[in-house]
Amino acid sequence: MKTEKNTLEKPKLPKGFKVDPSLNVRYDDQPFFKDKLDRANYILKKVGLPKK
Amino acid sequence: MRKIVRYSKTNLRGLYNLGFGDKDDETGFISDTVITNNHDSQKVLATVAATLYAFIETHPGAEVIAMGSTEVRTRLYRIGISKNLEDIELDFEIFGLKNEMWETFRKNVRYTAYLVCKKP
Repeated sequence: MKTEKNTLEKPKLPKGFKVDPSLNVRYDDQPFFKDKLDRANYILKKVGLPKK
Repeated sequence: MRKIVRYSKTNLRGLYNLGFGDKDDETGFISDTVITNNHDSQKVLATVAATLYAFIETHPGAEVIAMGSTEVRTRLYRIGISKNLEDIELDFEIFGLKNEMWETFRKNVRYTAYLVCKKP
């Protein structure tokens, strides 16, 4: 019998991955991907969010 | 080649923009357009997808918008999503932006951006 994935289970990181909390702040002062963020904000302002 | 993945707050509360690219350790410069051509795009996308799981795990209720910096990259994202769509849809709702309208992601449709949110 095939068991369906329990969608109530928390998604787990793939094997070999771990979270390093120090990365949360390490690059805070560096404006990476600013152009992309500007484009995202433009899209969100123009189109909004999907209707669910 | 070191990769950087960053989730940035957008102007909408609870919605973040996903960006990733290659970091030059010498210059510190980040590029999301360079092609490192290591034939590892699927592995890279799998890693980025793993960060998405981790991010939403630590930011309950967050939604994430993503788009490629070039059309080629946007198409690469689409391929990666399509390949794993059944697994993705177990946990997430995923939308594609087409003609300035969001719709539920469908395979083989050209989108300009993607939006992901965890299913309730």
